[in-house]
Amino acid sequence: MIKQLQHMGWYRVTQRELRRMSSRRLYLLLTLVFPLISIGFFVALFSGQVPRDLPVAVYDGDQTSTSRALLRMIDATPSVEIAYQVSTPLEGKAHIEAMDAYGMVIIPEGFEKDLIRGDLPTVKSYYNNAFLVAGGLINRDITTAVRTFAAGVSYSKHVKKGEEPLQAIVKVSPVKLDKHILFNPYTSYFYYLVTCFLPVMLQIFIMSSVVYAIGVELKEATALEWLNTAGGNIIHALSGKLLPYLFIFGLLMTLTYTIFFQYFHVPLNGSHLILGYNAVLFVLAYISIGILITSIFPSVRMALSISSVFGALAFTFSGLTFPYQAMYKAYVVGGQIFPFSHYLKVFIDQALKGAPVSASFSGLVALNLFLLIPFLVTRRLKKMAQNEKYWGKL
Amino acid sequence: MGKYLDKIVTALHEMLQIWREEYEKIFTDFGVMLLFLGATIAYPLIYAGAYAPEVLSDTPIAVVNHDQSSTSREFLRMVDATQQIKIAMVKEDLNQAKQAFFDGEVNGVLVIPEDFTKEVMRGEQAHISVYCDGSYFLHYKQVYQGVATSLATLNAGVQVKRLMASGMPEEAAIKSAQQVKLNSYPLYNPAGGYGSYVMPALLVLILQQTLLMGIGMLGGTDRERKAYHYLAPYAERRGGAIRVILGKTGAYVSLYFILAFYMLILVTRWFHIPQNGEPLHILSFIIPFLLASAFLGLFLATFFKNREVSMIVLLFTSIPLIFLSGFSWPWESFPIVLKWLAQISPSTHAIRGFLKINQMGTTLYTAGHEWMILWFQTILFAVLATWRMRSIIKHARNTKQPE
Repeated sequence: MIKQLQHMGWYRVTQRELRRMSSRRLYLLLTLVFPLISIGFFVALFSGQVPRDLPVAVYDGDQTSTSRALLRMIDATPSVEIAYQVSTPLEGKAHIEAMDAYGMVIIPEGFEKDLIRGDLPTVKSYYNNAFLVAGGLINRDITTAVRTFAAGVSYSKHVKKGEEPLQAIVKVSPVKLDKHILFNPYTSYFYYLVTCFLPVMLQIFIMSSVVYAIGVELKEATALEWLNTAGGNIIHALSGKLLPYLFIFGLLMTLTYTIFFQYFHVPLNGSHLILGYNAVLFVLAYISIGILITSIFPSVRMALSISSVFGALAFTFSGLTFPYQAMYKAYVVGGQIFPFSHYLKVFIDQALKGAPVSASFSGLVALNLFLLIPFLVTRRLKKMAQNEKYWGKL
Repeated sequence: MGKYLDKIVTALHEMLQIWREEYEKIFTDFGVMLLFLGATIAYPLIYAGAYAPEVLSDTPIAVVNHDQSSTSREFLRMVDATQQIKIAMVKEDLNQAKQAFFDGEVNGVLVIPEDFTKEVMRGEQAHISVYCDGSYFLHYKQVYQGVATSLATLNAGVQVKRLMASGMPEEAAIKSAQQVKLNSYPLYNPAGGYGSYVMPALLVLILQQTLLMGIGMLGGTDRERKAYHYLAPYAERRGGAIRVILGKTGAYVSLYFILAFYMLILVTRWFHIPQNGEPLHILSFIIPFLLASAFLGLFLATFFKNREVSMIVLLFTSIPLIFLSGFSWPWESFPIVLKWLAQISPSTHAIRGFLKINQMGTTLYTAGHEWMILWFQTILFAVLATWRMRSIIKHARNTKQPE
């Protein structure tokens, strides 16, 4: 069996590539150490899950049991922690400017008195919206706390008048909103980020590994020997060379998915088969992009620069946080040349949404199209491997 | 006296010589130019263009209205009139609406049940249901907020009407329905624009990362070409390595000061990203940041033996660094190890300080803490870079490798 395999060009190239990989530390860094550090980084970063207890300053101009009751309610919400009791609003502003506090709540003097008289006191809430996530969270919680407090006051006034408690609840809020959040029961920003950034990091490493593995053969003028090992067949030369990378990054994707679904309990509602297929296509598509980039730029360094640009833009162009609906048309069209955009849509449809298989069809087709790219550039790559003028570029 | 003056003049002269040589290296190296002038000019434009629409408005939703009364129609008009939501289609039942949702035609569904008006009239608690897409954050936020705001208005209206029906005057009824008034003021990014939120941090990070990669690449080239051999004469004298480090840094920082002006002042203006601080304060703040980054780059570059290694090593740090600055995922929820790690990178402090001056419109004084840390890093990295540079030059001299 092994004997037979040894006649195959790609098998000899794979053996040769494994020797090369073990001879240089850079390969180990690029395919294992850095990817694992990145995965570890994001796991550590998001292991706290939802941000809690963000510091907020309060100015209590009333200093009564009623104002303190409202402050307690605000403090009890998940995302707010009253970190500073300030003696003037200016002092609170200084905390916001120093970024010690994300916001400030101001309770006016005479708050309790106005409330009893039914004179509609005004509570002010300032929040730092330059931090969109933190600002949004504390604004949501403060608004909820104040509304709940107001409803409570209204409710007890009704009850004091001798009304039935149930009747009083209905009077306070005649229409109730039933919120059904589809696909992301925790409404956590966390799922978007964690399911997104691990693949974003991996695509950078996949492209760089491929670009480096091929480019360094040109740089160090070993390209012809590489091609000859494959018996002069460029397809064997490429597939044999890149097989170890497919294997390694396939394993890293498996690890990533294990972390998503086992450790972080990301919902998994759709087809497992499609999710797996999607992951394999993701790795293959970026290997293909890596081949394309090398075929255009024979200098390793240039090719690495280009793949870093392409990799860095993937997140923005995927339309996950800032959606396609809002972007200019050119960006939406541009987003299609990133395999990550298609991968992410299939992932969200299948893992989070449990969408029907048909919904993921177009995404999978698009990813498959990327796999055709290497066949367009094999002739050029072969020429590059044979022709000295492409070698030795710094 | 004259002897010392001579020495200083010679040292300055040598430093300027290295400065000039470094310019030559930068402008004749296509790969470095691609980073120093290509990436720094193009990235801000590409990113700013992507986020330029700033806010998502009129997210399409589907409505299933089983009630068909004037109250429910009035409510739907309110929902449609919000900035967040547009009612794109009316469906017969929930299944049809869900289909439209899966087909990507709408991003949410609003259902008004059959007895809606009747229940409101009878004084029972009525319910409406909203289905929002939890898998895309902004869509979820838009649909939920749009419906919740309209509903608060509806609720207040119903209460006021009831109170007025029981004989209360309108003004008193309005006050009684609300009890407490809440005024919320979003500071520094009032419209909640996405670009205004992301761009300041991105711009600062682009400055640092391109600078580090470019310096790494230049250093790697020198190593590959054994160019340190030519620096050997400097190592013979005291302070020789310092001259080399300062000369190179002069070249980088002078170039990057112009780029910082382009990114932080010009691009910011072109794309209407809030700029509330004085440009003079911003630029003064940015000087120690550029110095710290350049010295860090020179220090790191001494570890890279070829051109591509610097790219590979620095490449993957960009995305983690943007998170470490704490502008997107709140700093308070970091594990302690990451809090420490964040302190090492100049970008963390520079982003915080830049946000303070640029977004929040404060002065250099308010960002003084960050400014001081950046100066401290400048000194620290300069010492480290000089120390490493000296040992490399000495090594090059001792081995005396031929061309």
